[in-house]
Amino acid sequence: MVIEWLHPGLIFILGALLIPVLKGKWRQVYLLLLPAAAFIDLILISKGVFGSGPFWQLSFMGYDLIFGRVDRLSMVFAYVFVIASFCMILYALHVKEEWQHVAAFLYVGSTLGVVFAGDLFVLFFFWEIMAWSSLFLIWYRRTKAAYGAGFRYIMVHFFGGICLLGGVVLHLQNTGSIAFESFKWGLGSEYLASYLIFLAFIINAAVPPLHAWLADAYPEATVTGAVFLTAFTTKSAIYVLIRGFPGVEILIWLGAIMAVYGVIFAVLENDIRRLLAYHIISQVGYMVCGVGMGVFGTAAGEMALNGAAAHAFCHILYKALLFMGMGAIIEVTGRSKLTELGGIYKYMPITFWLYMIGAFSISGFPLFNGFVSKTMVVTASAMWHYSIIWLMLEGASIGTFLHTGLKLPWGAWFARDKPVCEAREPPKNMLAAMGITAFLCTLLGVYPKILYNILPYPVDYVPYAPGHVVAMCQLLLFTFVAFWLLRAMLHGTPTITLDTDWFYRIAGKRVIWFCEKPLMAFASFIDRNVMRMAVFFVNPFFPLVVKFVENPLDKAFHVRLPELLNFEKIHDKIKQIKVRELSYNLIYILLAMLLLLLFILFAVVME
Amino acid sequence: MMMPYILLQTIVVPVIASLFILLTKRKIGKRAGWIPGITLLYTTALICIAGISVYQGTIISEEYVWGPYVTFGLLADGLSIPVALIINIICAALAFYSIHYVEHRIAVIYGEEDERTKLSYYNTFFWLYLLFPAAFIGICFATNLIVIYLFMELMVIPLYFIMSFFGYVERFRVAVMCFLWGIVGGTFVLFGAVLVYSQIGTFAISELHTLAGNPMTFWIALLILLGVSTKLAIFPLHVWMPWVHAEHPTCIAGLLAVYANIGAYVIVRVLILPLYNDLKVFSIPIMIMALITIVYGALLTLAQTDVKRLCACSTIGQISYSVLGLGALTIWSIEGGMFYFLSHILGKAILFSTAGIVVYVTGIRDMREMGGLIHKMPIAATLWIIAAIILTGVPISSGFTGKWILFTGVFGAYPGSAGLAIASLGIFSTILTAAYTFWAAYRIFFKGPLKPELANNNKIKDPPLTMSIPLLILAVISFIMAVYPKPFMDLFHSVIGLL
Repeated sequence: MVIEWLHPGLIFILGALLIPVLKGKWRQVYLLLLPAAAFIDLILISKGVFGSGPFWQLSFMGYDLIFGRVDRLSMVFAYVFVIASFCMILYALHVKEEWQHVAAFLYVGSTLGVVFAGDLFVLFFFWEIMAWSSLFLIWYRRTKAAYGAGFRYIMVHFFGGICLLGGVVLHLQNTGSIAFESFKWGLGSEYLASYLIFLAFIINAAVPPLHAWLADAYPEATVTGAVFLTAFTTKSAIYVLIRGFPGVEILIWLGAIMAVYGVIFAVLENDIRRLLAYHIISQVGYMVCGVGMGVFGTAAGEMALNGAAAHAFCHILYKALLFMGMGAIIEVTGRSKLTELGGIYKYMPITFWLYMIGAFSISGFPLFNGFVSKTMVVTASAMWHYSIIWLMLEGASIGTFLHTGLKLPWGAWFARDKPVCEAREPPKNMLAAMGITAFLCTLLGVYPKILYNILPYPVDYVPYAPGHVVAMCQLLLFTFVAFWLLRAMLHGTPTITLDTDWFYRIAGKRVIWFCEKPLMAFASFIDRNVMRMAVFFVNPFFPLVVKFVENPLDKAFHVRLPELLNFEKIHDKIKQIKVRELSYNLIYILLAMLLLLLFILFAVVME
Repeated sequence: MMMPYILLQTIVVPVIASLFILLTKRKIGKRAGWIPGITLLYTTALICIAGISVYQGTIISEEYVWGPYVTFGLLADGLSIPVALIINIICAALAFYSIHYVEHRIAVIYGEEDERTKLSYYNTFFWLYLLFPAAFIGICFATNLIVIYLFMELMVIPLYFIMSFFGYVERFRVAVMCFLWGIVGGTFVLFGAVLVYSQIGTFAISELHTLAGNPMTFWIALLILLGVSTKLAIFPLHVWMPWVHAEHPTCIAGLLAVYANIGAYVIVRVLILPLYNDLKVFSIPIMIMALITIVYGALLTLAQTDVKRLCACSTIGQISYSVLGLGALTIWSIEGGMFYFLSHILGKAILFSTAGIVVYVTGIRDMREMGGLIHKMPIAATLWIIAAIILTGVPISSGFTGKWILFTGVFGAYPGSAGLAIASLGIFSTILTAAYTFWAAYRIFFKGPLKPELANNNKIKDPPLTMSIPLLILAVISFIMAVYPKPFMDLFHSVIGLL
């Protein structure tokens, strides 16, 4: 019996449910089996075993949902997500707390759901699950900073989710269709739906000024969780940008600015993972720039989209490797600041060299995978004759190599005569994961055809043309020279950088202050005055009324009746609290209303 | 297999059970606590049977003639059955939840009394409790304006007594405040009903559509809306809610959320369905007032430090989401408003009841003195987070489905920029809900290690099963509504889709 199709994301999501049930070695084997099964599923899909068209279409509340939109673009992203998830799970294998694994698997599964979503409802559904499951990878670190950073993370992502919801609903109103294809773009208020969806996508892609959540939250996540975080949120945002907004010109500028922005802020960083987080922003800038240049039907446009997809593929691998390396340092030494590290090379040489493979990849050294992908985007910008963009992208490479490839490893492993603390190599599973990822980086660098074959458009780009190689080597060599000469000045400083999150952190404090002071004063003011209105109902003829009306009523109401219903005790308490005045006036009010009612009825009947 | 008098049973059986408890107070003793729960399970089963028959297309209608001018009619159609079902399930769950809670409350308030008095109060609670579901279901199934008025006022009476016997701080004054506000709200509805009679000579809801185009319809609608707004705690008239909702015994918290929110059902049944075109003039004002209430309620909630007041102020904002949907007057938005009403009462019942568990177990109401409670009360923390998920509208909760439907309708109502602005502001306020529920969860359960007084108190542990299982069942129902909204939407659509 041939099943119609199996969603790779479902393997992760349903598989996550079984994780708490298994224990010990069985759980570890199971954890590695799931991504392997998903990988086999992907290979079967790409071989066409299940057929080609959209799979798992469902009609829900009058909409046509498509859970399985399979084409070259979604397959390339799905491949890298699954392959990377295998390495990341191997890296996290030693974690005993099962709910961290559940969160990670839900995160991977929902990202695959986003990648294969054919319509906007399914996209939104998995988008939200991605945000909430990744939140727990941050919160599980259980430090005060992690709780705060996670809260800000989910607030920003929830805001993005709301923008997406608003945009999707508006889009539905405007076009009547919920299919996920490229959105119309232009200037004017009728494009509000597109603007809102665009805003949501660029929040997830961490485009400045909305990028602060990334540098805030990723360094506070758990050692193994941060590795997961680097890949999925930002790259699935690139995927949906390619789907929804290819060729939108503003993305070119946003991407170039991002590339330079990330590098500049990385200069100021002391925390090792925050420095790498800013480099994520920088590298994603290349991808965003590529999407912006991706006008359909032109050779340069296809090169740009290929470049964006290829760079996403390679970036996931080498960024995971870099975070694995830095995570290993934190795991082993417990320190995460450059000012507190140094001189530990002799304890962890293997980690160092595996990290350096990742560093060479991100810098774009020939023979490593960054070279074959980053240069595609840069070449596309040259083909479009965007000279300033080209210059910014090339310049960002300098900064990338300088920080990730030189300053960071120098500061962490060298830079001091005596080691700053005891260290050792990280656990074997972490080293194995780093090794596999490093191997993949090198493999793709040496044999790029594997990657080029699965890119969405046919590739006629030759990365190892002599011109490219020479240009890159030139750049890198002089960067190294500059570093060596200036290395004394390039150490970490114990500072905190202010980024755009300052705005909403201060705004958040102001909102809370507003709620607690002015708003509460207003609410109490309304409360007091409403209570004061009750004074209006106090009776001025009270003494006389007491004698002739209220005492007999009192006896009947408060003595005889409670005797019947056995409420003597409460009666005493009520007398003590002097509710009597108000409760008698209640009778008057009710009498008045009854009279009014009778009057109206009388009038009606007489009609 | 159609039971006879099925709708009448759902109203009368709780009343009979209530009388039974009242009359046999001394004999039954503590077992009286189980009677409301079992009775309500029975009426829930009845409503399910009725619901299945309505879903298959036959509307159930019963008529009981009381006199020459008064006919007591009950109608179960696509609009009233889902509402009645969810309300009854919540009442049943909270009846089981109350069994333990009321004992604790009596021990705190009447601790020095003798056992007979304490038993008497215990049973008093339960016979008063059963009047609530009777009143709610009566409102849901009523076909006559006077009957709706009758049950709306009937709701206030057990509330007054339960508040004054079992409430918290200043319970007598707050009980009187609650009674006054409730009665005044009902009286405006009565005025509207009498005006209706003066125009068309009947109180029957099925005849209301003949009022369309009548110049008095504006005043009728205004009076009824004013009356119901008092119950719904729309902005200027919301003052009673933080007091009443915070100082009442938490076991009926979920019922108070229903008490307030059932005004939405009344608006749909009495105003929107028969008098749709005449209501269009009220549409933008209702939406604007709802929006103000949402934002004001959410900001007020952010400022609270008392956990019960936090839930109380949160109710103000959440009710207005339904009102926003009703105000937009499109089919999707009305159905979304009703769906969100059901989701809100489920989530609020869980949230408030969990807050009650925390207050009951620790004796503290101020969130600044709590923290790190997850180490001792993991189930309570899970329930709070589930309720936060339902109220915020994270996918896989009924809040998400409700918000989706609601905002699809609200965005489509007024395509101009004013309409877009209102809809966008409404949708952005959902972030405030996320902020206050999760921040409260952090302050109560996750912040730092346990304070020393809490850590040494070994009475702090997870609630007993009769308190947590009903809430878990409510959470499961919310989950089912989220992934399988089709029955509810079909039922709503069979009535609202006729607009």
